[in-house]
Amino acid sequence: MCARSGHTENLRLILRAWHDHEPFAWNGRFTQLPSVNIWPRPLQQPLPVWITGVGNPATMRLVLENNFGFNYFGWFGSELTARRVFDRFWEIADELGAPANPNRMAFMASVCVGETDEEAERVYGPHLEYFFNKGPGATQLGKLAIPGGISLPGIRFLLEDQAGDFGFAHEMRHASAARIFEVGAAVVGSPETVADRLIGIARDFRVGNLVTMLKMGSMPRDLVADNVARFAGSVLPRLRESGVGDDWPHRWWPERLGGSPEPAGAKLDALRGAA
Amino acid sequence: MSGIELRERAVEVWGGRLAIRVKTAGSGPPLVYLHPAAGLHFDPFLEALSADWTVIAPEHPGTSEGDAEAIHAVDDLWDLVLIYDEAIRALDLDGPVVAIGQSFGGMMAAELAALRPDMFARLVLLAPIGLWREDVPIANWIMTPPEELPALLFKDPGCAAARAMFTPPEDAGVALAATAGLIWALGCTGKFVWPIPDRGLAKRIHRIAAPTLIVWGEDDALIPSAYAAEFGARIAGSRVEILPECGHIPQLERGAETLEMVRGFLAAG
Repeated sequence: MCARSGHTENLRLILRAWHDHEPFAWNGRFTQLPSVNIWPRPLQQPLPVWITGVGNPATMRLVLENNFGFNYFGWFGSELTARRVFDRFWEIADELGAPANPNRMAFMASVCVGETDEEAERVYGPHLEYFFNKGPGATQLGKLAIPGGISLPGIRFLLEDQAGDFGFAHEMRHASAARIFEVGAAVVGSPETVADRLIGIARDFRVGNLVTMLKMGSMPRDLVADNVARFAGSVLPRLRESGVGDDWPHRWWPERLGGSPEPAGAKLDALRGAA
Repeated sequence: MSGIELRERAVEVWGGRLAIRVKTAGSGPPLVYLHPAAGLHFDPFLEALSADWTVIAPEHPGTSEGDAEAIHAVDDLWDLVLIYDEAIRALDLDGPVVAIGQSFGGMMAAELAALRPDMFARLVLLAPIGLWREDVPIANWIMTPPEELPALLFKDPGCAAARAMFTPPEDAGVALAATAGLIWALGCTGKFVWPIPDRGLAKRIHRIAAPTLIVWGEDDALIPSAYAAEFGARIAGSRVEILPECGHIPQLERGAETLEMVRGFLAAG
């Protein structure tokens, strides 16, 4: 009986559903399904699998032991949290004897590109405020903590560590745009500023993948289109040239796009039945 | 907590997979108390009852100190009802006993009394959950932000009982452990009633045979007092008492009246 039995069972069910070619019955403790038969099926085999974590060492171990990629997102304020979380991941990787391959790490960020820093802050500020105040800020972290998904010591850690891994989470509901920029909860500025910041994170913390969120909160369609165009035209070329991870194999990327994925989930016994 | 002496024992149930912690206080005939969603607290009401009764209070699985993972041995309400049934049997109480259940514990007491109509000699339900009416929905206490809880639980959030409940301990470490413990307890109990606290008690409640007293605060913001009549109508021979100027916890906000009412009812048996 494990502290995160619900989490583990769900993960095993998803992995098996992606992997198996024939329908199967799932008699789990939390989920019972007479015939698991997903459609469309993933084309890739083996399939690269990414897990998003907030800094829990148990999740990092799960990722490393099962050959998953690790995705970390910057909403808690990357200026406050990135060093703690990324460094912890690489320390655990070292402890477990896993190579420090930057390609197994992703950073997920809200990115807002303007013509200049001032223009970007002025144009995107109100939409970022809306997003953080009404979206993630409206969720009480403690209310996400339920038996099956976390242990009691995990809840204590979550409450105690407000200034640490959870950065400005407790301020989000009322955070001003200035505070959002200050803590790095979004990467905002001119193409140069944005590229410098993202390349800095990639180099400092060995991050080989970037997941960009270019639309958030109340942004109108045209602004989203501008943001996408500016990111693609003026930021992406510089990121591609930065070369982080280029001298390592990419085990968590589609084969047809140059990756060399390996099977994931071995330690979970994911490809066997629920029992 | 003032001068009462709490005793504690553990009863092994569920085929040896669970040790239910039971706290007792006082002396006299046994009185089983089933606690609300936030966990067991020996409040002044229980202290006062322990003058005449041996108050016997089992702790919900997972809410006992040092045994948080016990909740994973219980999957659903059917398991839980049987576990409480086993725990109460294991206490070797002499004959049918009297029982009081508050809120979540009120639903559990009603489920037990429906499962085994001969289990309780007399039953007191203090603002229990377990029924549902579309026109007067029960508030979602699990999702209520902490700062709104006093007004959800008390008619007068400034009253002494409310302040006693919501003033955080001075020691930061103790305060943090209490907050984490509350979140955990709401999860351990919420597991059986989330997202709507209606698990079909309405279908089983007619089986209750024990003389039953139903007590409700007129201004209960969590479970509207309209539910008092719903329980009353479904439990044959029951008595309903509504306390004015009172929220969800009558035994704290109208302590003296509730105590008198409960004492009178239990003594009549």
